[in-house]
Amino acid sequence: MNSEPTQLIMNLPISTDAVENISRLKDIFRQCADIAYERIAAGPEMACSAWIVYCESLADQQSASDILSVLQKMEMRRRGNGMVISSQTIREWFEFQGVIDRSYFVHDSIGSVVRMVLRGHVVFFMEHWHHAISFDGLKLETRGVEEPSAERAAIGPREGTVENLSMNIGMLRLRLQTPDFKIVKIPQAGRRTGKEIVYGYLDGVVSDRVLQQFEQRIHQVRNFDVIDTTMLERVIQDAARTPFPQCRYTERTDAAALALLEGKIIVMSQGSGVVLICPSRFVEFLQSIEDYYHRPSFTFFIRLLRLAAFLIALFLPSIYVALTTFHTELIPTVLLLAITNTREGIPFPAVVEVLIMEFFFELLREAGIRLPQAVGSAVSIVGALIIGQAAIDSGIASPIMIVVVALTGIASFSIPQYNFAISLRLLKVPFILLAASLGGFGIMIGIILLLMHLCSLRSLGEPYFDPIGPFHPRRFAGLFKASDKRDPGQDAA
Amino acid sequence: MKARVCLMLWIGAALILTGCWSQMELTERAFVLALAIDKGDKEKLEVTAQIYKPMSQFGPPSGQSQELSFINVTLQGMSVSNIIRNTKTVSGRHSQFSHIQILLVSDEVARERLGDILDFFFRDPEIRLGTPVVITRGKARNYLVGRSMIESTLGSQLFKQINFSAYLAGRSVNTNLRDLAFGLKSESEGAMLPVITNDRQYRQDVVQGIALARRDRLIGYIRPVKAPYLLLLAGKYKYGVLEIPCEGEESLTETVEVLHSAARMTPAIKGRSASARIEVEIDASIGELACTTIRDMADETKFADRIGQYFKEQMESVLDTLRKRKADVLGIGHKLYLRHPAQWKNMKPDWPELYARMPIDLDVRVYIRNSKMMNSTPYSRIGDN
Repeated sequence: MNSEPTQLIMNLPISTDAVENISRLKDIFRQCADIAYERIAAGPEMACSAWIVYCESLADQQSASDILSVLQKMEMRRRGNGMVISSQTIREWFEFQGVIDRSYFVHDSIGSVVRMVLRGHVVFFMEHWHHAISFDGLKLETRGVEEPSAERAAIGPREGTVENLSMNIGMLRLRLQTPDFKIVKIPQAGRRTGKEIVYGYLDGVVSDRVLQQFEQRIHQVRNFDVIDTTMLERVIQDAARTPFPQCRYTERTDAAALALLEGKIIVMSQGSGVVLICPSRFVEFLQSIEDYYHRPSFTFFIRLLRLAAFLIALFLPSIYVALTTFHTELIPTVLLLAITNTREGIPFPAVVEVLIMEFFFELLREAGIRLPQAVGSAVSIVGALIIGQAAIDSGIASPIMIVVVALTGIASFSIPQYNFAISLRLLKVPFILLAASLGGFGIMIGIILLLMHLCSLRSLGEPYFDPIGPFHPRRFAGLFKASDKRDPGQDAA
Repeated sequence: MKARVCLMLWIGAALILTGCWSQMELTERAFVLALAIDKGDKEKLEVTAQIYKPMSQFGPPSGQSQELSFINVTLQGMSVSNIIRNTKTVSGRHSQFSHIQILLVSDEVARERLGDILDFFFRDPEIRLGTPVVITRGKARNYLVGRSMIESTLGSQLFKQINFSAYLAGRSVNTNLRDLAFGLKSESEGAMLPVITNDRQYRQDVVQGIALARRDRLIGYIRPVKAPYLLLLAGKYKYGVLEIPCEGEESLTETVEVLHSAARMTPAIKGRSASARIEVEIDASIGELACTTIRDMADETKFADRIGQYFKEQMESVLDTLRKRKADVLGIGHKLYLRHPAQWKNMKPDWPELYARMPIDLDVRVYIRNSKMMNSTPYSRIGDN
């Protein structure tokens, strides 16, 4: 409503009249009950007045009182007429007295003061002085470091990121103790959210072209209001109209460090534990950090298993439909007879049956995620009973259908990246429809279109389907093993 | 723009004009598991299709096991394809032939017309060429009536019986549609088929013996006891037990188990006549000994020579039967054609007669590979031997 006057005031320089400054601030922060203004009288005969402004909900009370103690000391030291306190004097005080061990900022516009207050800084105004000083008094409630619930691993560190950005950076810094690990800050993303965003990369490992592309895009983030790191994918991604994600996410510091070693760029933001990893290729969504902690033979097995899971999650329902309605000759006789037994008496065509059961399953899955844990288990009981037993007994679905749907669901759960599993859930439906209308031929058409799409996708300019799309034999063979991370410089020596 | 429209049309046409258009739900299909072909009234054929009857889970829970899991549809007509098309009018479902387990042809029909009734099966895309064909003694339909012994349907029961009879017992041959076509259409124009008979005494169906076919009809049989020797000659004997009667004592027999066998046939042309040499090698282990004592290697060689001689006699009698029937099921003619195509042209019209009187040189070698226990009487008292 009053955005224009507010904007005008924001651009004003700090006046030498402290009372005017305060009234301007009060104007901007009208109806903001958590902004505290404290007047301090200082100097001989309390003639010199000063103001402290801070946000009670963000800044530590202790920080505000630190200022007071500084001033008191200043007063004690100052003999005689201390009516004029120059900025120089104060700066000296702050610098050399070592009262406050935090960095401080000098401001000369109202706007920057407002921003600092909203970031938890304590701002100090002095009469007859056209500057203001602020220092960081932010106190954040942060939870302890825990294992991320979405990325559990049987072995490996249990360290997950928290909502505090500097803590996260610290945990990463400990894992990569090299000056090559660069952290770049974008202090203010979005006019209203004003989020602090950082991106990091390993100098010398990351490709310059990718980094350049990334930096071009990430700087657009100033115009976006960013609530969470995941929203940044929209700024970074190459193609918006694709079900496939082009960024990976992790809450594990070891996974983030490994991504850096692989030449990826990571993005983090204040207030979110999510680490965004880009550019990401198709095959990386089927890999997990744990692969690097196991013996190579097991890694080989587990990656093959995930490949199978990917194929099952995408194709199993459509293959079932194609086989039972078009290509019954492909089913072994004994199995076919068993299937005909279970299908006998089901009123729907196979495709309708599949769609109904997939719909039930998606509903259950969505309900299970949203509900609190106590109720969630009730949903799974009801779901298991309704979908499993009752649907069969009432003749809506055949038992083999339940097996197909359940296997598809379990396969999609076993894909390590959640956002990738979602894209498979979406893609499964067009495949079912293709199978129902054209049989195995339809599935082939779908696969061809899918491969064409995957080969045309790019992530930060890099081919998305990399070792398969532009075929690269050596890296393709390497897909099934977790390669050692060797420093190329050390190798040559 | 124009190119893009063209491309879209082209892709659309590719989608619409090609593809699988056989969409049909499982509940609309009837899966034929076995077919029996008999002679019907007058010149007609009688075809019986055994169709799987799905057991609905919503049916009455009790007495389900008493119900048969298949139905038989029998129709008569002049042509196989027309009769099969009409099975729908009886069963109410579309017959699907891709899961046929066995094709039964009664000897009565096979003696008159084996070639032309099979023509449909060679052409139809649904029917697999791997489907076994078997000749039935008596009416073929009778073998599809009643209950199966172990398997859920009679079709798969018979299928397994043929398989094991040919593979493990060496009592019969496993011939599918493809083998039959290759045999009958080869230059030799001969094929072997398994035979199924009903054992009246114990009321059970037995697959044993081999039927001989030439050109388009059945011409004779090889008895079950002689069947292994025909298989050995043809190199199709896998595993089985062979009996050798004791010299002097007719009531006693000894047995060997065949572990591996190989046959090599080399035909030759001499002027206007042909000859052939067949070498058969048998690796065997001793099964039962009744009248032979093997103490050392010399005894073993003697035993091997004796049974080799016996096998050779048996094979020669089989070869005599084949030549008498003019059934070149070993494919000697075809091999001659492959080796001497030019001479074969002149020879072919007279081949049956040439074959009937051609000399066949037979060489049988038996190797005892595993003697198990060499005592003539295991668990014997000291001094008994």
